[in-house]
Amino acid sequence: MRNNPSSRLNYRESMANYLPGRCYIMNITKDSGQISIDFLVGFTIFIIGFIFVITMMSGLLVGLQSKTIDYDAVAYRTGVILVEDPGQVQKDTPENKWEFLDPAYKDDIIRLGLAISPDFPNILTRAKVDRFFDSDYFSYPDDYRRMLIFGGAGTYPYNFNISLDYGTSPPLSIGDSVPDGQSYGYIKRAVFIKEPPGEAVFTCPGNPERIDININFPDLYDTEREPIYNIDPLNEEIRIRILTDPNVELTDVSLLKSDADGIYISVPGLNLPPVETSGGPAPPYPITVIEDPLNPGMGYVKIIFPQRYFSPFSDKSSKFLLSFSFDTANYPPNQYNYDYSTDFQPSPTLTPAILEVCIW
Amino acid sequence: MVTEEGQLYTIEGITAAILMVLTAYFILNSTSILTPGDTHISDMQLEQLGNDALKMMDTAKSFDATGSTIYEKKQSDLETWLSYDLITNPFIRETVIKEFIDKFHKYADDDQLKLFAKIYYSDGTNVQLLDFWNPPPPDIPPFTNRDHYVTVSRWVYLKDPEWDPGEPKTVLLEVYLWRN
Repeated sequence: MRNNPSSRLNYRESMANYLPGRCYIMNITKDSGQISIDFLVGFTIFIIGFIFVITMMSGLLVGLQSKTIDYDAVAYRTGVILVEDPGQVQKDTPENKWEFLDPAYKDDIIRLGLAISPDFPNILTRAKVDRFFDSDYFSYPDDYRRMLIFGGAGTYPYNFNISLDYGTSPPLSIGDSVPDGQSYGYIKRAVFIKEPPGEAVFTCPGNPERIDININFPDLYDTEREPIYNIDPLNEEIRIRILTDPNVELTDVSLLKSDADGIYISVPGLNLPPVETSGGPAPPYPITVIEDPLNPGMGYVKIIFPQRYFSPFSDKSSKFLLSFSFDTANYPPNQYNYDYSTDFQPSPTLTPAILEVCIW
Repeated sequence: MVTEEGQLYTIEGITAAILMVLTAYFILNSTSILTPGDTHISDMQLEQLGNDALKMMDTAKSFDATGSTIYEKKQSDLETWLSYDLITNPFIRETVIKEFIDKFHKYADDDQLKLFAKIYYSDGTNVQLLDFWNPPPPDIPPFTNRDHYVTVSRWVYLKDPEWDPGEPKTVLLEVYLWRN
């Protein structure tokens, strides 16, 4: 442009208006539309930084507490622990089965689980089920959070509802109901419950002087059957009913334990459970076993050994003799065996059930 | 346009370039990825329930002391059903299918579940398919492969199945589960 004669002329003309020695404020505004490079670089850096900030701002709206996506995971984990794990207690507790632990040692329970053993998942025991849903033993929600949900101090306090339906109405349940409109995690597990043996019924007509029932633990802990089909007298309730002629007189009931030589002796300090007869409870003896109106022509004598009754003084190799003595007997003693050929009512079977866990 | 003054572009060009870059950035950064409905949680729940039901069907509810072998004493419903003649006897085949479905519904506590099953076994050389479910009984909905289903499976030991007598075999029972 400077070499352009017309531009030189314009330059001269414009410069001719300025007198030497005077100070003029030059208007240097250019109309070329071009900005300086330093401004461009600065502006570019600013814009790049601004883009980064804007991008990160969307992360401010994301909930940092991820509890909502954990509900299903916690429900699944809880279901697995309940159904596939037998539970665990501290090593130095006096009892290694949490379902039989004295309330004073409740804090020694590490983990609750309802399975009979790790080898038989989905098979629960009645004792564990009853203890788990016992609100007098466990306090809701703290005990369950500590031993099952694992939502204790420092973790999110999940709410939960656990129910077990095996045909009862209403189903066994702990925890609050899920609030309406609340999103929650859920899992449903199908299980069996191993029930204690039914009532063993021995029909003993003819008024013998004594009825002896052999309870041999080695016969009951049959390795062929596996624990899910075994009668477990050390841990389960044992119920025995003998049917007699009506109006016989029951004079005594005794329980003897076989020693190492096979001789049956009494167990020191052993208190027999109370006996129930169709003529009333016993002791005191003698008591007349009158005719049972529900079973005409027969009277009955019933005894229930509560769960864990035998465990303090016996093991899987123990043998017992339960004897019912009668007065005015017509026949010599009758012997029966409490084993798997006995008439159990109901007969032992696994009970199907549904376990549901809701977490929110 | 580059000049001696160190100015690269006109301000309109700069602004336009920035605007285009920003626009492209926002468009690309905000692309919505369309995904199908998230079903992995409900699939997992159905699979777990299906596996539980199969396990229960493969567990004898009581010990049968009258059996002559351990296998017979602990024989489960599943082992019993899959040992029947599922090929040449249509009445038995349909009865087994219906009992299988009824028991599955009972153990899963859900009578809306739809099922379809196949058996895979080895004939000593190759893996064979025992497609005993087809055709399903008249009141059983067929498997069309269009429903969203999950698959559960279980190995079942059969001492002497009637559909291939002679030797014991371990078969793979594959069950497809879906809900309408």
